Order: sequence, then structure tokens, then C-alpha cells
Amino acid sequence: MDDRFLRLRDWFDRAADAAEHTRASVLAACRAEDPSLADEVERLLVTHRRVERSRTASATAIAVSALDAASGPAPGSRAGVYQLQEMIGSGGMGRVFRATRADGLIEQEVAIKLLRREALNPALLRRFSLERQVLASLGHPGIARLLDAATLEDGTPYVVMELVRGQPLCTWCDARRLSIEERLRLFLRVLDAVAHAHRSLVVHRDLKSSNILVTEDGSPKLLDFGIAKPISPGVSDYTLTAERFFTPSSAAPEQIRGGPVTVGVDVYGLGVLLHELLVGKPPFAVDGLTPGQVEQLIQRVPPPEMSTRLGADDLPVARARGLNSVEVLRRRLLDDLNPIVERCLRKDPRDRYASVEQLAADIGNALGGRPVGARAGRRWYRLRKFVRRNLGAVALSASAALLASVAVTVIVRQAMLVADERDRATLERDRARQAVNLLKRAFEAADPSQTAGAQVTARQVLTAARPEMELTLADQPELYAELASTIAEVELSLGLSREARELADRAARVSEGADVSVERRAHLLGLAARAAIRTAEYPEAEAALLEAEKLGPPALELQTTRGILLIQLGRYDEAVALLRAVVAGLAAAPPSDSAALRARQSLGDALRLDGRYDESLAVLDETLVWQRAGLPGSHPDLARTRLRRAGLLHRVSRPGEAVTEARSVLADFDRIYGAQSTASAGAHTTLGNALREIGDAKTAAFHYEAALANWRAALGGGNPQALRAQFNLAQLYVRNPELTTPGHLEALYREAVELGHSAFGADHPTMAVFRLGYAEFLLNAGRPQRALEILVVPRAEEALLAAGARARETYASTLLQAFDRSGCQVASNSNTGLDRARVLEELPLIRASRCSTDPQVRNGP
Amino acid sequence: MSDITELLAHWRQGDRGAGDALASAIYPVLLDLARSQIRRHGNQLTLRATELAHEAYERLVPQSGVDWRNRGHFYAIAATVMRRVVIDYLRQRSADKRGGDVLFVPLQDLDNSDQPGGGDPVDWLAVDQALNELALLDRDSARVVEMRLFSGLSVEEIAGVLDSSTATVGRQWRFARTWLADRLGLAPTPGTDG
Repeated sequence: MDDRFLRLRDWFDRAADAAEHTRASVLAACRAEDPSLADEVERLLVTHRRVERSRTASATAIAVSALDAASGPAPGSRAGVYQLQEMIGSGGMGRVFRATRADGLIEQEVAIKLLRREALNPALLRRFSLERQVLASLGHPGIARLLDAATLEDGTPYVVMELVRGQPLCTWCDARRLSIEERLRLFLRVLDAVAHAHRSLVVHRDLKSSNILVTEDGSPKLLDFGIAKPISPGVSDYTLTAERFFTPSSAAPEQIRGGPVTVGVDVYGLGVLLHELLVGKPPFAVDGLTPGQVEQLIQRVPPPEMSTRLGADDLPVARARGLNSVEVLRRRLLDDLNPIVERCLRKDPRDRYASVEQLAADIGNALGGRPVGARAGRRWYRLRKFVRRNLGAVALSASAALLASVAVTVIVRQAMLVADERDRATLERDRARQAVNLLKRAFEAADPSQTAGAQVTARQVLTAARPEMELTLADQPELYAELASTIAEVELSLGLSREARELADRAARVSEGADVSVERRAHLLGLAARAAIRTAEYPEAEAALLEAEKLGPPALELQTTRGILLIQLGRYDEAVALLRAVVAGLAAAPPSDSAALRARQSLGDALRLDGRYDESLAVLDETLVWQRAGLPGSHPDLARTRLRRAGLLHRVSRPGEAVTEARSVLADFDRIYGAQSTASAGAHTTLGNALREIGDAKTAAFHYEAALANWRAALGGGNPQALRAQFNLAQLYVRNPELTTPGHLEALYREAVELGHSAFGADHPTMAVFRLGYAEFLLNAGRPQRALEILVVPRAEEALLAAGARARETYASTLLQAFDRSGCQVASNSNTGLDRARVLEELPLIRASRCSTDPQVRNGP
Repeated sequence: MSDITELLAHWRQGDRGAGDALASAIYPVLLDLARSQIRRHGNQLTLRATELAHEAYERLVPQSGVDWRNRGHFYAIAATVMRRVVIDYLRQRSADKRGGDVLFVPLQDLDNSDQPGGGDPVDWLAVDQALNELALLDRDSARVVEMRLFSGLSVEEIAGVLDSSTATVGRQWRFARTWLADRLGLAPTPGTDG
């Protein structure tokens, strides 16, 4: 560091550190030493002030404000006729002191709020002076009164306010164990004060528990109208970045966006407050999230229903409300209060209560046992939001964006058809039209970026949409069939195979005698078959396919489903032949055609499973060329094909490439669907597989864990995908035991087997694989008895039958080992005489026999 | 992949080679993350340094997460790397456009650019150059700026990583920021704000 520079820095530091009134003398000292250096220091000081005060620098200025805090006015300083006493609070806008009258004329205690110097800019100051006039006019017993406003000698503005001694609203309620009713009554008094401010055209903008104190006598008082602002009628007023002094976790979405501030902001804030008052926590769990993630949550993700935020460990919360179980509290919230809070917290201010009075009226209804307005509007609101959320979830899963576009086309076309028909026949079919338009609008509004983690919600919304759809059944069977197939398809893509199957089946039945085209019926049957294949109910799938095929020459789409069934049955040659023909038949189809894509993917699968990796790779390469010709490079379908290809690469001895490719797809999925999406889960799995292949078990385990976490988050722990991920993770750990603990490992296996029972059904081939994995682990851990219990269960033979020859073979040998080591007796035979071929036939017998003396042996699911 | 935790430990013990190895391990991940973040923001260069460093850390150091010292040091290195990522990205982008004079929406720490219209665009290539000049005069202050702008570490955290005090780092940051703004003519003229 050269000497001049060093001196420049030193003098700058000294001058910048100095208080306003001593700065000149510091500069004079510098000038005496070196005039040109003093010029430079002075210039830098000017720059410093500008940077400090400008909007551009405010983010950083606030960040370093901790440093400035020491240099501000301190207790003992004077502010007009008042003398500052101790500091009683600090916040985004400044610090608050208790102060007393210093002139001795009257004894008076007040609160003085000093605005932060670095928060000052001309715009803010202008507003500040405007506001204090408005604020002074707010005479309401529930609002701390503004007494005076002025500036200190150094230009720091301050306000003098009524000093309120009390406790924050939530603290006060909890300390007194106020019941829900008492809390609501108190909340009504808060609403009264806020409504008063609104009538004077002032919005508070930062309503939260710590800004509402309850005094000794139980009266709530609103503080901190410091950031309150007048509502300018007719003018849409965008707040500036530097003035965004709200509390991030309780900010309304439009505050974060920088949108116009209306009474809606306070309605939202009151919703957050009411939420906290009732269940003891804010609508979103924001701990550990980055500010960006919090903003994302507030702007995009609908808050979970209030009562679902209560968990088993929330007993203290219930107790603080005078209730002795969480369940009672939950039920208390269910009917009336959930919808009230939900309506306050809607993303679009226009969807919230239009005024605080309306909110107060609804709370009054809830207290008086009258029907709550929010509930009546709720179903329609939900339906309106239906596919927007739903679509989000679709985008998360298998054939996401593609399916969405298919559904949009289908529904738009159908809507046009209905409209036509109406014009011609002037039929009164309002309900049907509503349902269709509803779906159409929602699909159009879809945005895949809104999706993260919304899948569970989608499931609920799908269920909620069903009744609406049922309404079309009576007078419009064709429309019903169409909607049913769309919803079934969505469910299928969400992994809700049972629901999809049930719906498709029923719609096919209903449409049998009705005015529904054969193509539509065949399509429904095809969907039912696809769903049945997913749940490994192959005979049922076969039956549905046969029925569809009887309706006429099968469409290529149906043939693809037939091909997929053949694959599942292990008849790869036939599947390949059939699917090759389908792919050829669909050669002219654009890459946006989901049936054509499925055919190609299935062909690739058939070849891969048959061990013909090079051929499979060729099919995928060709698919990529086909897709690239007609889809934008960023299209999710392309990424999905690349992912399948990555899954293959390591089988043709190109594991390095597989890792690179999977990593890149993962990055794409993270970007498109969010890092917590199920799409990313799939990519994590493939990447994990490839990494395992190149011997990087540790990183592979990381990605398996990530996949598992995503699946669990999106669909819950017991869903098939999560369980598969969990099992794969266990299989990886068992080969790399240094990466985990035996306890964790066993828990993974045990849970996969236990939960798999209900997720897949005891006779699903996957269950055979799960049991086998767990049993092998148990055998190696020296627990043959327990291994036997796992292997020998009802319907194990059905599961094995579908699992394939190799699995049967391993199962048999593992079972034999378990017998040998546990030394148990089998009724029909001695354990030594049992051979592999027969052991499976003997399973029922083995089970019937007294193989185990352990009373815990499991004989049923 | 090298073990990041191990490398960090070596680096802490003064192994310079470990620092380089760390930087090369972090670079592709950060680049990757930065690219996807840029894409998410409609091709505007709006990098959220804190988030990026956080994501990179989560991705590279999956198991730890408890050792704050590790995290701090990781971010410190990430800052240097991030600066390279940003500059490389901009160079490449201006090369693509054959312009080289493209202005960008600044990093979050200089301005919150969520606001419609954003703040004043900052020419990051110029910032980079000025930072290099500052480093010749005052290496420590330049380092503080780098960490502040490109990793999102707070003054307190930087002080922790550099074994310095909050007051010193705060002064260094204040001076360097002013010096850079002066150098680049970045200080807004009075009356334009608000």
C-alpha cells in the first residue's frame, strides 16, 4: 500500500467516523497537513454521503447499520422539550426511546422514535412530513397517539408518541391462556382500530404482534404507524425499494413485488396475525430459508390450511388456549376459522376481504355461530384456482408440460364444441360450460414455475374437482367422458394410479350405454389399462385392453399400451416388434404428440430390459433428433429423453458421460421445476445410479437422499416412488456401510417393507424385491429368524410370480439359508431336503407350519 | 469429486494448493447455478450471491452443514470464484453480442433489482477492473468488497473469516465502496433518487 493511499484512507476513516459537527475540524487538520489530499478526502466524503443516502446503496447501508448504531443519539440526549431515557425498541426505520419532559412544566412520559439516518432520502422525508399530519389526526383509543414531530440538530427526524406500557398481543394472550373466543374478541378490537385508520385513509403496512401492545387493563393499542402511509385515492402508488421496511415473513405478496399498497396489505397482515393468534405460529415455516426463498413462498405458494400447521408436539399451543389436546384445537379451527384466515392470505388482494369491516363481520359470524361468508365463497374460489395449482403439480411429474398442453387442447376444443352446440340447439347447459371454461382458464393460466411442492395440494384439488365434474354426467355423457379422461390422465401422471383407474373404469362403464363415441370409450379403457399396469394388476390390464380392442381396430396409442403390458410380462421380443410398428406408424407425428413420445420411450425401455442396450440407445438418440427438430431446446420433454439416455449410457460403458448428462438434466429440472420437485427427484436417481456405477458411492448416496427427500416432500413418505428411492438408498448403503449407521440402514429397509405393503399391495413384484433386500440384510446381520418372518408372508408367492425368474431364484436361496441358520422345522419336509425349485411351491405350507416360535411372527398384512 | 470438507481443512491450515483445488471444484457448480439463476430471471443478470453460494455449498458439502467455520471459509473462496464466474459470463456474453459494452442489472447487494425498472445498471467488467486496481493499493479492502459483493457474507461473517474485527472490516468496506463509487462515477447525483 503506498504511503499517499494509506494516508488518504486514514483521513477518510477519521472524517467519516467523526460526528457531523466535528467533521470540519478533522478536515481542517488534514488540509493543514496536505491540501491536495484534503480535497480528495472531501470528494470521497461527498461520494460516501451520496452512496449512503441513495436508493442504490440502501441495501448495503442497512446491512452495515449495526456499525452506525453506536454513533446515533444516546440516552440523555435532548429532543426538543424531551430528554431521551432508555431505548425501548429498534426496528427497520429507527430506534425508540422512552423520554420524559425536560422542561419540568408538566410530568409527561412519551415514546420518541428516531428515524435511522441511513434510511433517509428526500422522498422518505417528504412522505414523513406529509404523514405526520395525517397520523396526528388519528384519534382512536386503539391507536397510540402521535403527539409531535420534529428534527434533531443533526437533521435526524423524530416523532413523539404516546408511551404505551403493555405486552405484545400474542404474548399477552398466551400468558393469560385466553380461549379462542376471548382471542377473537380482542382481535375484533384491533380490527376496530385498523378500520378507523383506514377510514382516515391510512394503511399501517406492518401489522404484527409486536406492533400491537395490550395494556394492563386489556386494551390493545396499535403502534408503529411509522411506516403507515396515506392511501392516495385513484393513484396507484408503488413503494420504492428503499422504503420497503416491512417485516419480510409477514409481508403481503404485493409488498414484496413492490405493487400498489392498499387496505389489502393490512387485511393480509391481519390474516398472518390471526393465524399466529390461533395456532401460535405464522402461516409459513420460514426458519432456515434464505430471504429469496421466503419471498418465493409468500408470492407463489398457497399457505397450508391453518389447522394442518398443528402437530403432535403443539400441545403447549393448545394448552395456552385452555384446551387439553391438539385435536380439539384443530377441530375448533376447522369449520369457520380456517376459511377466514385463508381468505385473508390470498395472493391477489382482490381475492381477500375487501375491507377490515368485512373481516370483522365474518369473525363476528364465527363467534355467533352464524355461517361464515368466507366459507361460502371458498369452493368457487378453490375451483377457480383449481388447475392453476393442479397444473403445477402436473408439471412436476412424468409427462408434465406435454400433458398440460394436451389437456389444454382437449378442453379448449371441447369448450368450442359445447359452444357450437349451444348456438345451434340453444341448449341450457350452464353447469357444463362452467366446468369446461373453468378448466380452460386455469390451464391457460398455468405456469410451470409456480409448482414447487404443490403436489399434495393438487391431489386435494383434484378430489375437490370431482364433484363438479360429476355434475356433467347426467346431461352430457360425452363431456363427462372427456373430463374424466383428462383428470384420469392427470392423476396417472401424478402417480395416483388407483384413483385414475377407478375413474377411467367408471367413466368407461357409464359411457357404455350413453351417447359416447367408441374412440372415447377405447381411450378410457386404455387409461384404465395403463393405470392397472402401474399397480401391477396385469390380468386386469389385459381385460381392459381386450375390451378396448373389441371396439374396433386399436388406435396406435392403445397398441402402445399393449406394448407396455408385454414389457411388464417380460415378453420383450413381442413388445419390440409391436412398438417398432407403432413408432413407424407415428413417424410423422410432431414431437409434441404424447402418444408418439410414449411409444418411442417404451420401445427404448423394451430394448433396454432385453439387454439390447445399443439398440435402445439408438432409439433414444433418434428420439432426441426428432424432438430437437420440433421443440425448443429448453423443453422439459427433451430433458426427460436425455435423462433416459443418461440412464442407458452407463450400461454401454460410458458412465462418465452418464454422470455429466444426468448432472446437466438435473440442473435443467432444478431450474424448470424447482430443486424440490419430483422431476428433479428422477434426475437425482439417475445421477445417483451413474455415480454408483463409477464407484462414487458417497456422492451417489447424496443424490439418492435428495431424491428420497423430494419424493417425500411432494407425495408423502408412503408413496411408491419415495419407497423405491428409499430401498435403493438402503441397497447402496448395505454395500457401503461406512456411509451410514446400521440402525439407519435397517430403518430404511424396514420402513420400505412396512409402508410398501399398503403402497404396492402385498402381491406386487416390487414387494418381493423389497423383502429380499431386507432379508439379505437381516441374514448378514445374523438374524435369520427375522429374515424368515420377512420372507414368508401371505401372498409372497403371487408377488414372486410377477417378479421374474431371477428374483425367484434368489428368493429361494435366501429363504433356504434363512431356514438353515434358524434351524426351524417345516411341516412337509426337513429343511435340508427342500430344494430351490420346490421351496416356492411350499411357501403356503411353510407358512402354515410352526416355523417360528416367535409370537411376533407376522401372518397377515 | 474431491472431498470439499477435507480441502477446506487443508486450506485453513495454509495449504495454497488446496485453495486452488477448491476453486476449481466450486467453479463448475457455481457456473451451473449462476446460469440457471440467470435463466430463471429472464436472462437478466440478477445474481443473488447469497443464494448461489448457499446452493453451491449445499451441493458440494452435503453432509456437514453444522460447521459454520467451514461454511464461512467456503463462502470466502466462493466469492473469488463467483467473481470469476460473473466476469467470465459477462465477457462471453459481450463477445456473443460483439458489443462489450452491455450494462447489467447489478448484484443484489448493490441494489435490490426486484423493483420495476431496477436501479442504475452497473458495468461489472468495470467494477472488476477497478477492484483489481484497488487490490494493488489495498489488498485487504478489495478482498472485503469481493466477499461482500460476491458471496453475500455479512460484515460480521467476513470479520470472522478474516480473523479481523467488525469495526475494521466495516471501515474497509465503507472506504472501498466509496473509493469504487468515486472511481466508477457510480454515486448518484443528488435529486435523482426518490
